[in-house]
Amino acid sequence: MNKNLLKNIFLKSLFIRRIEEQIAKKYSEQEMRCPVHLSIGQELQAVTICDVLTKQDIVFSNHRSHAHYLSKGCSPEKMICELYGKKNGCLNGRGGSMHLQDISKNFFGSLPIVGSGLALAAGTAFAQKRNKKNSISAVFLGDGTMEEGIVHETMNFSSIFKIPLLFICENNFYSIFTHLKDRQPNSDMTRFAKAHNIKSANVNSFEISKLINISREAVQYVRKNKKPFFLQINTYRFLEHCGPNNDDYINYRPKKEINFWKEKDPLILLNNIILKNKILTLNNLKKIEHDYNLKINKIFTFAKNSEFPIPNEAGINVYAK
Amino acid sequence: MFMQNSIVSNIIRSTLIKCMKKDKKIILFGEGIDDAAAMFGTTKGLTKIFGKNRVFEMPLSENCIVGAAVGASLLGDKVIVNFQRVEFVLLALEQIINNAAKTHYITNGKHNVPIVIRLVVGRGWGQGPSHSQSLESMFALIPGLKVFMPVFPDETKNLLYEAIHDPNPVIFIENRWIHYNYGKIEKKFIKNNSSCVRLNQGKDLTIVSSGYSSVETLNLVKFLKKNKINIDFFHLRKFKPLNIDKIIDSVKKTKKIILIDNSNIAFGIMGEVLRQIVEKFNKFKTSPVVMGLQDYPIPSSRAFIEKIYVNNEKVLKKITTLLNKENQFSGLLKRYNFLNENNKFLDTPNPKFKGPF
Repeated sequence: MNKNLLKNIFLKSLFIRRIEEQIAKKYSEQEMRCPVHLSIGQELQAVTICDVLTKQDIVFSNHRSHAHYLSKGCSPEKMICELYGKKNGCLNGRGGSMHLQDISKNFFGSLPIVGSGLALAAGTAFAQKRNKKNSISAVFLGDGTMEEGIVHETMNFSSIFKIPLLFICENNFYSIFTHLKDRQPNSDMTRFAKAHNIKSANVNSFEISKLINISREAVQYVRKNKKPFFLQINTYRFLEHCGPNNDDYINYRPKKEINFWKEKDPLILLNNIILKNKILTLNNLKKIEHDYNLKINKIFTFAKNSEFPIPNEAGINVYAK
Repeated sequence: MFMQNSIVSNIIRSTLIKCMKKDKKIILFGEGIDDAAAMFGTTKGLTKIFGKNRVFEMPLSENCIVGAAVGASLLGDKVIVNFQRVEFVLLALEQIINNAAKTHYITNGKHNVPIVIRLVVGRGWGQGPSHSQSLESMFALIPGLKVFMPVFPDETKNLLYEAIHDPNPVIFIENRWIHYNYGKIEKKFIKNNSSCVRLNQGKDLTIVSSGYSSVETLNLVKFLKKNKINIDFFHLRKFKPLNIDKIIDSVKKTKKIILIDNSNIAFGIMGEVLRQIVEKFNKFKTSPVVMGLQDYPIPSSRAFIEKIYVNNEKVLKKITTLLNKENQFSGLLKRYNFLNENNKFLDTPNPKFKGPF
């Protein structure tokens, strides 16, 4: 594995982990007054995918979108301001955590209705092909999305029309509290892709080198062939579905399962690889953690001190002129 | 300057061709476009003219069709989406309401969604509970959508032209029966069409109607004019944005109003029009009357037609009551029916119509 690549993925993932932890920590202050779906545990795959996408490639995400947004290079300041409902948030306080967006980075947005972003991504992929662009579209979805009718609709369309669309299914096994086995007959989501003649792969988030290789191959395949690809990544969220806390005291997730995934936390695994291969030293890491801490504190102070949007502007931009 | 008499389906088709020839960014897709029926003839041959890259049939996936239209529009395409029935698009409400309508707002103006969703309302010939609903008020409820419903030939041309050039998502509702109508159209294409239009000037009573009811009521209003009953008659064709200033001015003079909803009375467009009137004027001489469909589905059998729909007889009855001319009702009705022998079948657009769509 390319050492620089590993270092790059690790540093970006670590930053996302730390900023998410800070959201969790500050959430109880009741200043971020919108639902938050934290990405803790699922950062690395977002960074890995976005690392092989170009700036021109368009990304759509879902309700759990912080990691996707940040991985696409969008501003953390604007994200935290958006969570605080401030005017200089990425959507000027109109969206909240579930509607992150930065058009200048071609992060076209998180759509928090499960499956909603798939058809939009199909539309941008179609337009990219029709207008002979070399860019592709990518959409992040979850295991729950696979139960929606729009998956079949979009896969069928993208297969028939041969559009450059990458489906990334992050299977974290739970649709809020309900386990996959109670919702679907099979945990292999590539069965849907196969039924639609779409090329696919299935990988675990902790198989880091495999994840990196498959991500690159998938993006290259879509770009080169102008055809869809379906990538399933099995992963785990470490906190509750929505909110800043750990909700494992409810016991809807078996202890054994939680331990299995936490021992395979991709960020810690990569941390160990980085140290073992002397890509970074312990001292380097300490310095990075220190810098991140300062940077993140600064972002939160900035967001807290930022202005709210003007109430009278609630009615503007309903219609384009 | 008038062009010669044309059938409305062809007027729609030639408007589409004119717009698409001028702007290569316009694409057209949906259900039933590139087939033998070609959306009541309105899209006939367009694939041949513009190529499969711009005009094409889509799989039967309504939510994906609308979502793909929204997605393509984010990259600068202008999309005309076609569905043969308004009910088909109920499967796409998620994309229409969550994405098409809100994207401009959520992005605070950074993204536009210039799409036109053509929907056909299918009244008559036993279309029944799920093929003949008139759901315009449901769309008009959603901020961010525009809702147009033309019925007359020239306004159909102009409103379609306006919808295609609008940077917002427009729900464009076509009554299936208008496709079979003939009419004269002006050569000029107009982008800024008013929300309502006065089709007859009068001082006795104000009538507002929409959709196919306007076609029928206009006939009655013209007849009454010859019989010295002068109706200030307004046809409402854009529900969103809604501007009824002209109607309010009219009611201030006549102090009497009948509103005929093309759809259900309850929670309908005309109920909203009346609300807006009442906020500015409430000194009516007689209580306002709202006519329209009752609060139940539309059954298929033609036996129900007279009961279900507003017809000229029911409107005439209300007019004579409001004007204190009840004694003239039967005489007027007899004469009107004699002159309009051909219009008595309420389940077809004209006597020549033989079904099945």
